[in-house]
Amino acid sequence: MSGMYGEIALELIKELDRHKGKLPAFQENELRQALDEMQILFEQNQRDVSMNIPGNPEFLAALHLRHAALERNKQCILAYLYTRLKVITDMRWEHGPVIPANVRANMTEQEVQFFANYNKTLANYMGSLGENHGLDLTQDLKPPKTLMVEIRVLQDYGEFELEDGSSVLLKKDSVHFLPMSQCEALVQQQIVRIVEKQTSQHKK
Amino acid sequence: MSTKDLRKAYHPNYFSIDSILAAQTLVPCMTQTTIPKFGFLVPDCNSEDLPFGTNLQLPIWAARVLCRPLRTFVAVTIPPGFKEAHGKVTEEDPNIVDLSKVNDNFYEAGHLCTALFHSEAGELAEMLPDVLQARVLCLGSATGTPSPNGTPIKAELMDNVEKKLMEDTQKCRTNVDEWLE
Repeated sequence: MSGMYGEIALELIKELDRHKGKLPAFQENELRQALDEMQILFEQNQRDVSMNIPGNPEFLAALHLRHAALERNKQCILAYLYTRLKVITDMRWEHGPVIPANVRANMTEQEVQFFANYNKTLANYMGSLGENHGLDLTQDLKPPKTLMVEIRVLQDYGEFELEDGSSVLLKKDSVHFLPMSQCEALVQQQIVRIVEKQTSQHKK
Repeated sequence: MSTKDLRKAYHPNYFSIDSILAAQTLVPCMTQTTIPKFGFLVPDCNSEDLPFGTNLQLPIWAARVLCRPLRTFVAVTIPPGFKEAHGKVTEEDPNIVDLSKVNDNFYEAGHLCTALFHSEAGELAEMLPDVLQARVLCLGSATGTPSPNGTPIKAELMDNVEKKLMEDTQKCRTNVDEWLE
């Protein structure tokens, strides 16, 4: 059965299903085509309704079928947009507040704006927890096992200032022994890698 | 935080991708009236309108609108794959039945079929949990926990729900093992 309505919109969904959990390029063309199809269906229905004697059962079938196709297109398009936004919010929790450039290329302006707003809302919320300094919820998503951790630097980063004021020079392939809480952000951005977790020894 | 999806079925998740894909499943239908301007659905139809008595395959989302208790524009038949799968799973070895061949979203599509207006829909509704039950016992053995059945199910024979269950179970298993070390 070829040429049934709703197939273009379904392609959007299939594309998302193929890239499970990742963000493929935004398919603006297909989206427009699906919207155009909806417009055509709607106009056909309007025509049928206005020119037919009410109660003629044959046209009801066509009417219902076109309406079902309209609803189907709507569901596919909304699910497409919604799932993309969900992938984007998940990225905030996995990669931190900065989007990698290759993913950024696949996002529309509105999606980038959405991400910025989400960041702001999340930051506001996290800042309002705890007393005075707030609580970073995106850290320690898994319960930390140790207090100090040994890390190897993956890229040249430069000076990194610790909470107590002292700073460390993060040069590629150097190894440092630092408190876990301050390394988490660096690990998330893949600037450093954890070498091995040692039993906690408060080295100061 | 990110891996917890909304539930996969249509209720309560309108945006569920699995449900949208399952609703595309084709069911055999026969028109009970002419449907004007829809002749294009059948490749070798000569007229612009779809005549009475045509056999065609419609996706579930279209069939469920045209086949209602008070107004039946088409008569649907439930695809035989579901019943066959049930027969194979209950009578023969559930491990070797290929559910993904019937449908990648076997349970979701089956669930949608039970909502179609058809005399066997009720039967189907009772069969689906039986299939799930039998298969879940086999999944248990696949993750290494002991079970009454022999060989575990191969990944190619599973549908999406089973695959997800399998993944989650294995993840939990590794987490528990790690924690116990």
